[in-house]
Amino acid sequence: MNNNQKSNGNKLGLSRRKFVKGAALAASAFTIVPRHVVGGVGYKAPSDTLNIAGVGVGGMGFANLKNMTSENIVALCDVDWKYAKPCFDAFPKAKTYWDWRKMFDEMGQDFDAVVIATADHTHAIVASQAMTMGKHVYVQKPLTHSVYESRLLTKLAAKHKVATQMGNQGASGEGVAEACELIWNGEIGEVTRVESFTDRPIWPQGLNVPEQGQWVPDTLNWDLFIGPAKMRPFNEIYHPWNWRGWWDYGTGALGDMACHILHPVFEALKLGYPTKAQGSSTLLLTDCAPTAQAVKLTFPARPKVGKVKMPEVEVSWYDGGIKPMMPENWPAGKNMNNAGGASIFYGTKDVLHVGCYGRTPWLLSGRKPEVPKTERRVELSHEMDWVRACKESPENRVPCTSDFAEAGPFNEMVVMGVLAVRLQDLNKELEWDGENMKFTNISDGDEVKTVIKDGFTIHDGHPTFNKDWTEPMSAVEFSQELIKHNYRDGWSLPDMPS
Amino acid sequence: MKRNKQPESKMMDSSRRKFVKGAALTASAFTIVPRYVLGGKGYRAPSDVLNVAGVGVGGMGRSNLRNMVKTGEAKVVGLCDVDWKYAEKCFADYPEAKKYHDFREMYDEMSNDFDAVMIATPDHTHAVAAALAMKMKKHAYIQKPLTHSVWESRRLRQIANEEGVVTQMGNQGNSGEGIRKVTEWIWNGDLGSITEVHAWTNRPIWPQGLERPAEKVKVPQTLNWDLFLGPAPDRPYHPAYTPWNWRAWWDFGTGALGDMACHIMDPAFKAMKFGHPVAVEGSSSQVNTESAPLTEKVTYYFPERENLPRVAFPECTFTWWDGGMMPDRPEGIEDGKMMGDWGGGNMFIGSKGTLLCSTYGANPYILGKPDYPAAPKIFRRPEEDTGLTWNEGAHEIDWIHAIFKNDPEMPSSNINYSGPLNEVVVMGNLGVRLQDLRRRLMWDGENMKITNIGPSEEIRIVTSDKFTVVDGDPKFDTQYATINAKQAAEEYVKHTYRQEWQGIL
Repeated sequence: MNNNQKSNGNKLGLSRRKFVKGAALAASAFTIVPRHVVGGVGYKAPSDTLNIAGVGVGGMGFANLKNMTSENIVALCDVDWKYAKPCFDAFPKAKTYWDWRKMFDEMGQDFDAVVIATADHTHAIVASQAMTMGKHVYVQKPLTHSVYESRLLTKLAAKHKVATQMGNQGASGEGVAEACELIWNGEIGEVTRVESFTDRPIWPQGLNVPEQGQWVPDTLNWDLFIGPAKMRPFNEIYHPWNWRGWWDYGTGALGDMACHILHPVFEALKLGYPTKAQGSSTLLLTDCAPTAQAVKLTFPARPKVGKVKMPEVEVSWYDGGIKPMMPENWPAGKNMNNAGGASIFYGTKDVLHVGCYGRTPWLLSGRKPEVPKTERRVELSHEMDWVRACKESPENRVPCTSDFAEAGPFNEMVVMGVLAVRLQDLNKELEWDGENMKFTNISDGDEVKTVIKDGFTIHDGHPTFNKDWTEPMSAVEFSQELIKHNYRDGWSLPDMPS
Repeated sequence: MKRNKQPESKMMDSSRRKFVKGAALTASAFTIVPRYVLGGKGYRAPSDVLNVAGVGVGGMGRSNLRNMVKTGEAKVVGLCDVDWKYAEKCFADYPEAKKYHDFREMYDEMSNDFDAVMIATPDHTHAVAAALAMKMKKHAYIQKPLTHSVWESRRLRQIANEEGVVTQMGNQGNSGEGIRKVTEWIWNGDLGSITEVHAWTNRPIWPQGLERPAEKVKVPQTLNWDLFLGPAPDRPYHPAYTPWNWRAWWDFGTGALGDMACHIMDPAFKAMKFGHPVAVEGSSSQVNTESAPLTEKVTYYFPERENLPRVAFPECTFTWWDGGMMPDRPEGIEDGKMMGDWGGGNMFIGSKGTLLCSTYGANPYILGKPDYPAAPKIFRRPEEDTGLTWNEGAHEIDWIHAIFKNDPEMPSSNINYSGPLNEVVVMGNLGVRLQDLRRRLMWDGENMKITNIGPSEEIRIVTSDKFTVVDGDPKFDTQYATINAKQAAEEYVKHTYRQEWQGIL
């Protein structure tokens, strides 16, 4: 912490903010005056240029911001200033922060919208706070780390009438729209089974927790990285980049890819809350996501879309390289994996294959039907469509392609997969009351345990399979914790709007 | 072969089985005569004691031998292992047995002194060790998987039948009650027609998906590395291969399929009368040129089979899951009940019901019928005949009794059963290793050929995958080999042996 305060204060903190302001003002004297400068602190320009703050800008966040350079990137926040440096350098006028809370505090009047691309476990706390302040939010996928957090963001977005977008950029692609139109036009009939997969993780998962911590680099504020999660010693195996494989911060391959791959499934079939969930995986560890997973979610019948019935449907998910069986008549040699995975919709009349991000929907029958284009096509990028929505008034706003009214419930589906995997030890198909966010068939006496450490070794040619297990835990409590995390002291979410 | 030089050996070789039978009859007539007094000088004695030579005795082989001698009906006369340190404990169990590194030398020198072999080497040497012994008319107990390749299974079966020897694959659950019940229930028609079957295991629970070690390590003095390699291509020694973890390496093992599918596919193969599949399709975690993946899923497509009086056998898919992945829980299974057991299980989904059992076919039950009344018993029970449970010797002793009775068909996992079963097991690896062909692989079982690979088609297989995070950016350095798919398939079906090992089969 000392290190961080030191570098924050002396090198890059307060003095840097002053400097940025000075530089911007100086620039304004000679060129066209940027609107955000004209008003000064506290003044919100009635402008067609959006003032954007970024939180978590070392990875995808930087990529997102680069697609928004027509707007004013006014503030940047990251817990890791080494990782964030390329982004900081790219937007030299932006004020830089370690702690988004401080940024919101100090610059609350100076930005209209926030791009959030932190590790999964801090999406919700940042986004909920921003929306409560009336800020528009663009939140990387997965929208949140837990079901409860998704529900909260959905409701806050509705309450505060802000423009929202989850960062599953395929939602703004042609393919998702086409897949929906094919299904809604009845081209494949009624769908009762969908099988989806991804080739991820292609990074290490199924890892034991490192025996020892490491020194926190000067450029990292580990306490802020941990945020609402439980404190543990720093190790570079968690950050940068590899947090996705650790349950406390990430959501494994589901969190990475299901928001892309299952999106056309959720949207085209208008899924809503599942009623049942079951999962299995390679060795399930307490802390690290498995190397491969299988999940099946069941959704009850939904209202017809036009003339197309939407009966109960089972959606299966495989990751880690495991794939569904190829459909009959699959063209020999054609890769089922399109850009990271795919979904296969089995309808009563045809089979539809859609790649990751909704890419290249096509019917296995070979038919290429002309169907009405009912869905809006996004002319700009996923990011700029959100920028467009931010600038529209709530009354006249055309919702983004992955606005939280959809992305919230959709993300609940994604993290339900994580629940199914993490609760597999219960040996039951979990029954889910979506409205109340509760499993209805976990009883008070039910217990689960997981493997803390896989201690496989070979001594003199003889294997030992030592596994350290957790004590049996109350399944009710464990599942409740997974559905709604207990945050570390000092971190809390706004109340759930009624 | 030395045995031909020794006159008494002739009798042993050509008429031993008759003799054994005769001795048994004699014994039954004069029960009080101790057997050892029957033999005179130069006469090879006690005839209803089977002389067994063990090949590969450091791991499972040691347990198999212990089970073989526990009733006093077998004696261990020779022991062979390429690793004398790993074999130390077994050597100590049988101090009077002669010890060898090379089974060829043992067979040669002791040809007159043993009647049967127990083979529990790594998978890639099962076939050569068994074939050579069978050709000497030695009976063979061969650990699972029976062989490393499809062709070896086929050829070994042919040799066994030509030589008339008694065989048993070491899938000991096959001598248990579970697999018999499963089969009898299904044949009784209680599940109706079955069109979907699953089998699964939590294995591998050891490291797989490995890359070839680069470091050079000196071969321990106690290990004959060249003999370990046997028919496999030459490669430098490394402790990652042996002892024990050879199963993970394609050249020596067959991954989780080879370890567990001979047990877990067994009830399905028997009850469903599967035979050759018409197609196979596999997917897995990253598959590389060296080592079996961490998790696999393989679907076999079986054609219609001949009906039985009470049950029809329409087309059926059979899906194998390993590494912890599981088929969906069936409708009607009790909440909280594990499907199968810790090691795995089977599920048969029929038109009238769903049957589940655990690893080794244990504890079968039909969903919703916990007190299922027993169907008529069709099969002999080796456990009853031997007075031993399947996992404590019934499987080995039943084989020994079959030898005494000169009845090659008697052991329930004899090669006419286990050969075709093993072909299906190792075919799973074809599906996995050829998955980059991205199609259902059509299989001509009779001719052991995949029929839908073009002569010039190529597949890419990972040779090395280095993942690092540099300054927060992931670096994926994945290297591939591009190989001709048809040739690869042919090689996987029938391996090219190293020169000195050619011609044994």
